[in-house]
Amino acid sequence: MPLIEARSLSKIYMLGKTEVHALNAVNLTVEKGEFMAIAGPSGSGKTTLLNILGCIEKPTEGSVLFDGKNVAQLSGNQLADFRLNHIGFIFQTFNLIPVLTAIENVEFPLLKMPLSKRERRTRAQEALESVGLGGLAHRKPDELSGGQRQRVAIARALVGRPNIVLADEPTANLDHATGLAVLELMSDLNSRLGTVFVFSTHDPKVMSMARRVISLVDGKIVEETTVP
Amino acid sequence: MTFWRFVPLAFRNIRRNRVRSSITLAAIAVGATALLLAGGFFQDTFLRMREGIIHSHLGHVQIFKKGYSQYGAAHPFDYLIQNPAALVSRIENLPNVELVTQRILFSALLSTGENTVAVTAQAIQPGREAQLTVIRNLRHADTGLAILHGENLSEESSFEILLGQGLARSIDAKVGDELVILTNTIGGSLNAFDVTVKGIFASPSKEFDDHGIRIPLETASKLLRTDAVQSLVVLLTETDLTETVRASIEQLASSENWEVEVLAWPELADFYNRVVALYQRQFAVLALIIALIVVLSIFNTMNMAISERTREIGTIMAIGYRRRDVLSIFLLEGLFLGLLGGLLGLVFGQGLGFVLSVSGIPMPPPPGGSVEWKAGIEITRQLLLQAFGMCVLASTLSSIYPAWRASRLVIADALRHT
Repeated sequence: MPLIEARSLSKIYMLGKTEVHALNAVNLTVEKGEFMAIAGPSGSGKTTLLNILGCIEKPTEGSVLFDGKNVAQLSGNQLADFRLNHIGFIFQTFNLIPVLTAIENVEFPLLKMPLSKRERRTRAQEALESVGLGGLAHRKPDELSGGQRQRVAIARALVGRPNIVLADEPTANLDHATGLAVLELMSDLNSRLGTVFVFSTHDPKVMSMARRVISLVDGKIVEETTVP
Repeated sequence: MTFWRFVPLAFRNIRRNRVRSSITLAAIAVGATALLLAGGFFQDTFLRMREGIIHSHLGHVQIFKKGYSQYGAAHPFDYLIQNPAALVSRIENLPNVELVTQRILFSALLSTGENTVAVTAQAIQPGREAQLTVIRNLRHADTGLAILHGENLSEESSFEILLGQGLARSIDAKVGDELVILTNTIGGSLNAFDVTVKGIFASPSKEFDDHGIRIPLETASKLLRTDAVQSLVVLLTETDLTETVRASIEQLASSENWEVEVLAWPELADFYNRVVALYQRQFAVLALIIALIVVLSIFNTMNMAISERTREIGTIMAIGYRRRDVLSIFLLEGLFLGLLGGLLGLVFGQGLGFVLSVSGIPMPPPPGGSVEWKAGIEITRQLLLQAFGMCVLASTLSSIYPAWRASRLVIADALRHT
């Protein structure tokens, strides 16, 4: 069974009085262990697709099956719990909480889990070490470089041991070399932990690191490439 | 419980925008301080007024012949306590009773030779009455009855009187003047004595000062031709024990079959009661205005914080926090602002209150009084609780709507927010 099976997803926004078709009958399957990119120009629907796969937005039409289970049936609270336990998020602008240190940011999702303080700290420290930032645990986000911040965000996404990490343009705010290093780290974690990574990008070099690339244009999948 | 795990985050978010948080905390602290100072000033006024009337006129408890409070005004000499000494010694043996003094209040004519006026004469036991007028443990006040000129009456005083300052002014009498006092004896015949003005007094009651004299009971007994008295005035060791001692006097009276009525000072202090009721209403309005200022200040701070942190709220919800958690985080921030601001206010308020109390606030004569006085700030434990409670409640309540708004944000929109 695939990890995610999205069936004919459509999303229509109202922009004033105009209907905007952000997604148009998208079918997508994400298998366990995948490292996959969603490519496409701005406004092609990448973020919307990731939001729907990540259960933070509902499709206007279509359904998402997660491990065979239709998430449309879940309530708001159940969806929150589902995201907490199964999905990790990485954002273009890192979105760390500025008042918390690196380790506290990583620990933040664990506050919602039934874990002791010691367990939370240990897991957060391990996650930070896995992204190579074990020594910067007590720095605040504004004391870290862009690449380091994104690594903290990756550690935060992974600390809850999710099945899948969704990353919306994770390298867009980083210089090219740092962006590639972040992607290499994600790829490495994917190989080591088996966590599925789905990330959006419009950078061809970043795309080339994915083992499967879905290309979106105007809310439709126009091409799918798999690296053997 | 997750709620308490947000405590450090809430604290750090308060520290995040230090200038804004400082201004908000200052607004809350100023609110609490204002409430403490205003409330403390009113409390001090009540306390001074209360002790003033107790130590000038009322004592803590008064004992009359049964029926006096209903019919005594029209027929005062029909309600006299015979053989008062027996009652006095029994009452003085009760715990917490400092002394009992005897009085008669009667109307008389007072003549300087040129002027004759009607006066209210208060026959007193000078030695005991002098003890009654002493106020202890009150800053800037030591007596309920100030002697402005001359001297107070003493045990040796006979055929000497004290004049209220308004009365002395109106008949142009001075210390040492010889006056004639004329009144009806209790049998109904006329009697008059020559008396000397020994001193001029000011009490908290302007009305009494304008028409009142004080005369030794011994002299008055001869003038009225009676050994009976009208009232026994009981002074206690502490005002707070009034009800307890009143109850024990009533118990004693009923076991001894004394035909008396026992009234405590609050029942006799109608003017005081009305002033307190009025001031308390004013204080409630003031508290409401202060609470409103605190509410608006926090409301503004929380709304700004939420606008600035929209994307952060979106992130928190995306990674699996429930809407209720977001609500909790912002409510906690409001609560802590209230707690911190309230604590600051209590410290400032008490400090400022202490300074003002020590220096004393010069005040004009109070309503119904004739003496200038110095007010202080009397901050009671209840007042501290009220001020602190107002801060915490106002700040938490004013955070509810902004926090609710934050918890209702659409995640995808909040994440897109720049």
